[in-house]
Amino acid sequence: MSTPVVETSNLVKTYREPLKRRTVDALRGVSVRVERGIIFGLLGQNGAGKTTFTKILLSLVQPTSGQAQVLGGSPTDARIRSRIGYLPEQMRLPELMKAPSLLRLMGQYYGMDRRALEQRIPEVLEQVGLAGNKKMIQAYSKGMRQRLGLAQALLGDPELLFLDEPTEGLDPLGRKQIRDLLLRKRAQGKTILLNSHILSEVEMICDKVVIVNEGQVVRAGKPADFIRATGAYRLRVAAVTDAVHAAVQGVLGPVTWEGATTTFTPRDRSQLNALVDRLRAVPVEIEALEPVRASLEDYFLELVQAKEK
Amino acid sequence: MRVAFLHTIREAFQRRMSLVLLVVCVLTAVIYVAQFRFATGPDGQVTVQTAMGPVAADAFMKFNLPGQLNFTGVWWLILGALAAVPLVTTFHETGWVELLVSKRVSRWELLLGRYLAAFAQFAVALLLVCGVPALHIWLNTGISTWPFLKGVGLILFGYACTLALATLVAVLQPNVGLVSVITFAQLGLSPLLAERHDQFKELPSLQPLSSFLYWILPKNNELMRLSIDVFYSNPVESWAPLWSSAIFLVVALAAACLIFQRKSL
Repeated sequence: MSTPVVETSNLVKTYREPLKRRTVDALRGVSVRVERGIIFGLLGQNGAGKTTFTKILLSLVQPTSGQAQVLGGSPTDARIRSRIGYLPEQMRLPELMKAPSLLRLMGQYYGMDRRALEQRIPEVLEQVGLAGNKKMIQAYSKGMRQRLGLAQALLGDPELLFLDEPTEGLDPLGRKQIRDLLLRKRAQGKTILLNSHILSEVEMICDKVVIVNEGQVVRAGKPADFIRATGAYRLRVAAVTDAVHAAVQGVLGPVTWEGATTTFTPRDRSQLNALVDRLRAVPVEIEALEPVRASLEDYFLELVQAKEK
Repeated sequence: MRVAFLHTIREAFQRRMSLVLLVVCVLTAVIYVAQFRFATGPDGQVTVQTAMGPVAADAFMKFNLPGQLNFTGVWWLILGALAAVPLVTTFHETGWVELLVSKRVSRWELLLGRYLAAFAQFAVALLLVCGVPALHIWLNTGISTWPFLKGVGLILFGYACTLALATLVAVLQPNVGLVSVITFAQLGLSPLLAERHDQFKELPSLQPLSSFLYWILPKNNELMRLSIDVFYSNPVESWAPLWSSAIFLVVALAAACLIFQRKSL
């Protein structure tokens, strides 16, 4: 088995609040392994511990106990950090700067060579769709700021990217562009740790997902493992006439229509076939009859609601 | 540290307060230089034309330059602190500090780089406002202004100590308002603590606290007096204000670095 890019073992973080005389357990024994060249999704509600986990991997927060290894070393090692790109969720940028100046500054903090930096700046601005932009950052929209944040994370051509809500504030086209960019980075062998609330997006691009709840990993796997058949079917017909309604009710019993669509759970396959036969006899055009699959979002919501109960 | 230093210097030029400080210093230096005319008499003695008439250059220096030291030790110090507090505080803002420290730079380098840049800003300001007149006087009279510059150095050292306090407070609580209040409180307390036996004569219960604060805090007021003693070449009664302030400087900066290094961001 190859060396993991990120490996944590029993990571615990407890925040002390002396004024309130209490402690908050942000992480309670998180063990995770991230292989090279994948997009790894980190899911969880607000306050679940995702950001604390990411910050420990960047040495922004010290763990109370447990081990964290990033790129085969400790995240406290500056040489390791120079191989990581980071986009924080709440990012604040200097307002009175232009994008190239900010990237030049960030490149200097990365310890990049001046010539390499001057060559790299237009490349990353092109990649995130900000090439040729002459505005000051104070005139940037939220989406443009997000793109610039991503550009600074990509600047050092890092092996590992920590992205906290990278598509936040972007329009659908912008989201697609960023998704494509991340997929290209993965194809180049980069590893991406993605923290996103847009679960459909996570489902689309992540190779592996962990769900964190109350500081613990509650489920880990491939997105496909979370998408399962529910046993229900969705039927859409051309028009719901009285005859159609009677035919469906005759086979399935009372059903609820949403326009020309109804969702039901058949007893068995023969009941499903009987329904098709009755509808053909009406006659009515069947536009679709498909099994209903639970998405990652459905799984996540079920899990969170069950925990809350 | 070099990157953090240069970044802070660039940031200082983008901040109005730092620009105001430098512009006021340049104007003050220009006005000072233009204000006094030097003339050499037939006997070779240099005189300075003042509002009160011509004054011998050495006498002029003895009454004018200590006034400069007093002014520097109070007003320029306050202006300098006003300009420096945002430089050592605002980079702690959530969303920006994470971006900086997640890079290759060490936290202590970042902190010391900013501290040194804020110090350099004030040093340049003093060089303009005190160094230029000193050079002007020396070039026109041939009398050494070195004792005056040594006095300015002592005031600058006091500023370095105050800035170390601001840096430490900013690490603990990065709020410009709070850091400013504590910085100016320390500057304001300095003369009171220096005269603590007289100031708190009627309040004996405050004596132990005032003595404690006196010994741990920087002694800007006494450093200013020391600068005047150095200027007049008077015998210095005690160097304690200098070394005790130096201890404060080292301890405050070391504590700031240590706390920042371990701080969860």
